[in-house]
Amino acid sequence: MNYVLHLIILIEIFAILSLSLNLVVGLNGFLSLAHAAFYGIGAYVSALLMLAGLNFFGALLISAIVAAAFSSLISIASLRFKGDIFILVTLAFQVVFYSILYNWISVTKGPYGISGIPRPSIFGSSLPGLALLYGILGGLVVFIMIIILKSHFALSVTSVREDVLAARALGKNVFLLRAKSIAIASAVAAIAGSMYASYLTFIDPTSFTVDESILLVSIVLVGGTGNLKGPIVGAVVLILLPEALRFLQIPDAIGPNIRLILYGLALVVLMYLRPRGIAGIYRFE
Amino acid sequence: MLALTNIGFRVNGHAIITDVTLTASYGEIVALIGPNGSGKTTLFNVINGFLRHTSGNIAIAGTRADNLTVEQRIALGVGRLWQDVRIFQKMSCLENLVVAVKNSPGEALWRAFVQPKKIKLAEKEAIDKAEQYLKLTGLIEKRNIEAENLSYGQQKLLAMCRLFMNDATILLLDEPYAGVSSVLFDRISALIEKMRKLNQCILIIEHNIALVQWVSQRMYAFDEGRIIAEGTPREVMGSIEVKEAYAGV
Repeated sequence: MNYVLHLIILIEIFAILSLSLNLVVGLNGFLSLAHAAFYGIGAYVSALLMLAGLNFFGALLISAIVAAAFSSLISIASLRFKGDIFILVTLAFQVVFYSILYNWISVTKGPYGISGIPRPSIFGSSLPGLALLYGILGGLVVFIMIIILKSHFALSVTSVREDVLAARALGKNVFLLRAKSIAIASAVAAIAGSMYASYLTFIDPTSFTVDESILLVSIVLVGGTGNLKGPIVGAVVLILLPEALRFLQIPDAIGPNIRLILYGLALVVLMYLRPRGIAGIYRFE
Repeated sequence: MLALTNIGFRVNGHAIITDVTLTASYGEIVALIGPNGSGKTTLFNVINGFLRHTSGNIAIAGTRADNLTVEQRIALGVGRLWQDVRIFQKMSCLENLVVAVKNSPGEALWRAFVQPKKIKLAEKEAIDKAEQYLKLTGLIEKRNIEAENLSYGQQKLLAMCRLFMNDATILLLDEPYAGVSSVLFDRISALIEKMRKLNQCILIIEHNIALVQWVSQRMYAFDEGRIIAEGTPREVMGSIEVKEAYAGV
């Protein structure tokens, strides 16, 4: 039972991550390699705040604001350029972020990680209570995404994705539209980070590496972008796929490698058979 | 209205546009003709604000616009039909039009959460207006189809409808007839005529001289970045300079 609850909680966290990344990949048409960094900002900021005595929701809110503020660094540095520059800027941000986590020992405790992070106790701090709370948070994020994706704002961002010049000539503020949607995506990723930190009660830098960013991008590309279904399907599939390996009695030594091979295979097969992802509507190019 | 006075545009010492003085009033269709590379599209980019003129003055809707950004000029009513259309390929025809609405309340996300009714109303209004234009141009059945599936001429019609939705009043139409099958010429002419009836100020770049003579009230002929003739279509087409420029003498 606990194993199932563990998977449910992971899917809730990763669905929130992929839904938020969808705003960058699906709506803006940019590939971001820094999403795990914003996830990490959420985890670390809220972990530190909660250890300082703040409650879960206060910490979650503040970490979201901090992540949104940091995202403006990426926006300012990259948004005047084309998509490939964006990938490089986000990669740089991700690498620098990881180095800071790893080396700023007085604050982040570096590779030792932060432990003893409290769990929210509204529905009890046991797994069923946590799964319920995270389900509600996930539902809230879905609700917010429905409103965002249906809004004129999303339509305008999409028009910028399709043709920057034409959108500008219709009066769209290209910079603000992109920066806002990336800030929202980062804030929501930070919410997932707070949830993750509270769930595990322990975090260290290895959860927020470039590899994690790439995993998030794969989730979004496998599931599909541009709508709500795609990212959620992607999170479910890519969380459950490696779990299936557990039942195949594969030795621990090769398990993680097979996991990576599976991710790669899933991506390649999908890009070949169905470039829009399993349930997406936008084909990333 | 639009008034250019002694506009010059130089790049690295090379004059691309020299001493262009031109006016266009509301309710008037003004054509710019001239061989390829004579500076017509560059002039549109200067009026649009994508390029900054190096001398002279621009007045848009009675406002001195020399130092205004692209966004500020668009707020004054400047709208553009691109030579290469630039519709939003992966968006439906309806979305292509609805997105063009300026200052839609739903553009501010907080309103989407706080004032959903107000936004619904505005969206409905926009959709109604868009459908009206889709009907007018015969695209209503393609309403929910991604715009990349339209023929080139249909894409041009869609891009022109976008200008109506954008409430643009000073229109820069860059070759509206080029690359369009002649079946659609009438529909494009009808849209241009509708723009004029809405009292908009219309500048057209066009190589199809026969068509544009018929559509426009006044003409400017360009060659090598200068105006070489201006007046009614009859006067311009009769001028010796224009004949020489087109004959390549």
